[in-house]
Amino acid sequence: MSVAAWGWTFLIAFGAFMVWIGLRGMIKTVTSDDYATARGSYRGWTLGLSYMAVVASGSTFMGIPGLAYAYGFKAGYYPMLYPIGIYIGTMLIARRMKRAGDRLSSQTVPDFLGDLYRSTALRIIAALVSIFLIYYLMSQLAASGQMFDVILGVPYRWGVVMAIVLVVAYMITGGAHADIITDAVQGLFMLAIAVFVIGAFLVAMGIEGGGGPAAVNAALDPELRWDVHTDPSVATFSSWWVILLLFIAHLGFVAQPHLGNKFFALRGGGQTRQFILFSSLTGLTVGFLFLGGVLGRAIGVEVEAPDQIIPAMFLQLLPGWAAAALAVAILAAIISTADGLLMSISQIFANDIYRKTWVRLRGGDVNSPEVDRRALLIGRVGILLTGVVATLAVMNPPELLAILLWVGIGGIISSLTGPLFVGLFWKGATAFGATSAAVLAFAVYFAIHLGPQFGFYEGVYPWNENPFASTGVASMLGVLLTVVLSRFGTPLPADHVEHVHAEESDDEWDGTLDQRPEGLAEVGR
Amino acid sequence: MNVMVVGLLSIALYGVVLALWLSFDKRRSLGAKREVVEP
Repeated sequence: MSVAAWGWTFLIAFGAFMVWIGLRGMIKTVTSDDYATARGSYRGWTLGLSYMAVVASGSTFMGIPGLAYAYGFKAGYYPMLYPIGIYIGTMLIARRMKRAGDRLSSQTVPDFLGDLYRSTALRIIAALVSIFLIYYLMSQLAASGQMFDVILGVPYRWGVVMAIVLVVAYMITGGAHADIITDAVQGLFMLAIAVFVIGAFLVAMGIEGGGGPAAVNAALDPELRWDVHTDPSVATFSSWWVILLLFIAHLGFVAQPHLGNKFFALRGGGQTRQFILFSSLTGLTVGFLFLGGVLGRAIGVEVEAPDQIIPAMFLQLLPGWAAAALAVAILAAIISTADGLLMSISQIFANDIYRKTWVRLRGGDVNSPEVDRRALLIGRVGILLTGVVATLAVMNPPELLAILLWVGIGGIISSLTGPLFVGLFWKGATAFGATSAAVLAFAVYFAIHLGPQFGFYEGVYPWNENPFASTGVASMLGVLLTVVLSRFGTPLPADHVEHVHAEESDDEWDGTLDQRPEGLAEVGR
Repeated sequence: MNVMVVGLLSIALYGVVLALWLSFDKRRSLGAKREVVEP
């Protein structure tokens, strides 16, 4: 059988399995809270694997090995440092956010910020900034289109359509349950590829005479070897200072809506430890996929675009069936991020804008069964519409995708890191401080990075070209501004602060509490 | 020192942070447990 035939076989099996999981998730979904958060349903290790898969995304398998192919070992600073930033950020807030979010019945990150600060303005600002996640979704769809093209020989556009149809099919039915279980399975696939690629690097697979990592290093051009740490002409690795900012920028990565909402699905605060342990160890492991890019360069694999190095190398080194299996696993990685993004974007409309803002402004009861049913419907229709919009937007492979992607990620991290982290650790944080910090930090990110990227003015190197460094600076400023400006706002009511910050009860810790919002408790599962 | 050594040392440092956090978090959780009252 040809690679394409094997690819189709694995893809059909994979698709059928994902849809089956979606249908299983549908059985567990009764209320909009089940659909949006799968609250209190999963153990730490399942959710940890799932979280790792969402964090890793298509870039871990395509973009980052592509960087390593182009720039050599120094590109490894990105995948070795970014997981440390992300998982330290997660470690800092996961348990506090789980505890407070359950108590406040929050369903999304913007919703949580609105509840935490009792501020409709902050909820709306965070929701609007979060809509930029659609660019992230677009980049994942474009990446899956390329994968279909390279491995299965399917034209790019059809590849994009097939990917979105698969994701929408299981997300519309199973919601957060389908998102989490499929991501955990996809996480296992990703781990398997990473272990294979690390092994291939360690034995210098494909290099004549073998010889291990030193042989791989020796086969590279001098400027790509591992004793070269920085390159002033490459904005991402131009200096040590910029490499440090790469780490800092990722501390707030968890503030993105498709990640921060995952903690609510933990079965009790006591599962946080297992969650952090599993997600961070697996997340650090998959980062080493960049070694595939280095190895591909060392053995002289030719590619049209650096991003295609991992699939191209599989085709060169492995028998057809194995290359096809690995390619489908990479698709799994891309899809696992896309589904979480779809979910989060649709919930901005269903929960943040409709349920928590519109219904409240009209004096309705946000927890009434009727509002809940409507929110569930909006969530499902939202997934379909978001999928259609994102698909149409990437029908022609977008040239500016990397820039647009960081409008979303950088803007969200810059804007929400301060309000989220400070509000979870400091009882003195106020709505005024958080809201103004969210706006000002986004403005700073825009001024130093997005303005130059959109061509409004030249800007200052490396900030104008390096989204990580700009996000790092803007998010640190966001934290500082939330603290300083909170002095000028009205303190939150003492009973609310106590409710948010009090230690977990035994039931909250063990996950034995019925955490469905009041008014929906009588609705059966 | 090469890129791989710096990267792996950073990850080892993360390991230390993780170990510290795990021990710190455990103590707080035990502190929050409800006392069992004998009937």
